[in-house]
Amino acid sequence: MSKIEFTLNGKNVVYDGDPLRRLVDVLREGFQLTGTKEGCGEGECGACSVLKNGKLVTSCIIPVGSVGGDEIVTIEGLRETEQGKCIIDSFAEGGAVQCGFCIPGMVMASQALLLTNPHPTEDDIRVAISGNLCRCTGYDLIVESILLASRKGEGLW
Amino acid sequence: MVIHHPRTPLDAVMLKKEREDALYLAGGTEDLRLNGPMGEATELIDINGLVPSTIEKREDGLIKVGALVTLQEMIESDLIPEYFKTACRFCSSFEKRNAATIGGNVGARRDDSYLIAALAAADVSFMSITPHGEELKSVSEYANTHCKRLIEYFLIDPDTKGYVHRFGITANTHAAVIAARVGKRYALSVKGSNLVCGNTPDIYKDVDYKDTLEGSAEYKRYLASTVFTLKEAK
Repeated sequence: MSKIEFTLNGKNVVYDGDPLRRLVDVLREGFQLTGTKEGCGEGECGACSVLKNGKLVTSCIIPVGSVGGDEIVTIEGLRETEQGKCIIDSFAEGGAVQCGFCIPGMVMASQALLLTNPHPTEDDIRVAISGNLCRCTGYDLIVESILLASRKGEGLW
Repeated sequence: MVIHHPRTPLDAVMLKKEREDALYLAGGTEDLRLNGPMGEATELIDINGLVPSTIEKREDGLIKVGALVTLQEMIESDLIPEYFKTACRFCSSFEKRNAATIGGNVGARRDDSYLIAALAAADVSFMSITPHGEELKSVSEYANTHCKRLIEYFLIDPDTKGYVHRFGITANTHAAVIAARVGKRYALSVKGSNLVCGNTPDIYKDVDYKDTLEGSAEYKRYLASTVFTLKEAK
């Protein structure tokens, strides 16, 4: 067993266990942060997306041993920020949510995009969410909602 | 499971030498990838911060790509030839490309590696750390061995031109065949077989094809035998 220290949603935490355990399992079962969903379990669907040092990664294929000293942000951390609230409100206002399973990952992907590109084009958005699969919406309302967030949140990013 | 945090690259190599089952850990995506090399691993050697993670142009014109550079950083760099960027996009998830490293993908030496065919066709070498010091090694030689050296950085010629093509049932499934041509050199990664390189499209005859979940031996032989001629007939 090994102790791995990292920052989780702004707080210093210590994980004591198998370093090859998947980050998604540590978040959901170890820290009860169940907003991060598991879809494919192979790093392809994006439902488990979190931010690692500001970059979007799939937590189902990241061993917790590789996040020592890193800053991890999950949907629970993001929703407490003005930026997160703006994206989530825009998703609700834009009708972006149907079953909702992919939405935490979509919100994290939106945040990763807006952090580096506060005024994205539709093409920028489609590239940014290209690793996030949604089986309900057909993506158009999600793309429009991210455009809405970038307009409503002017100055937040 | 134990995780070691060596202070120098040489310490990491010595740890690996002493521990048959240990894995190097950086991004970690290859360790957890389906059918990845996790196997019987009981110990991890954390190499984050020990090897370079930047892309730089050297005075001799070659591009030095640190082993910890992610596939997405390769795509976003102006210094990387276009066919390498195509190979990086074979890792179809943007999120995964943000964590997966070039060193990890090559180091895993998978027969469906996203990058090895392109790197081998381009005759790319990498600087490695061995118990005896630094040593330059070609990717095509390394791919078919089991040596435990630590990859430090790759040296890529930015002026090379070529193409790389992938055959898989979907973007998210393992590749059956990846074919690359750079200049006059060809390379084939075939699922279930060793990497094959050479200077003619006939290299497909050197592959020992195997039936795998990704396709039958005959199917993969057909793909490998036609890909270069069809690609160049266009």
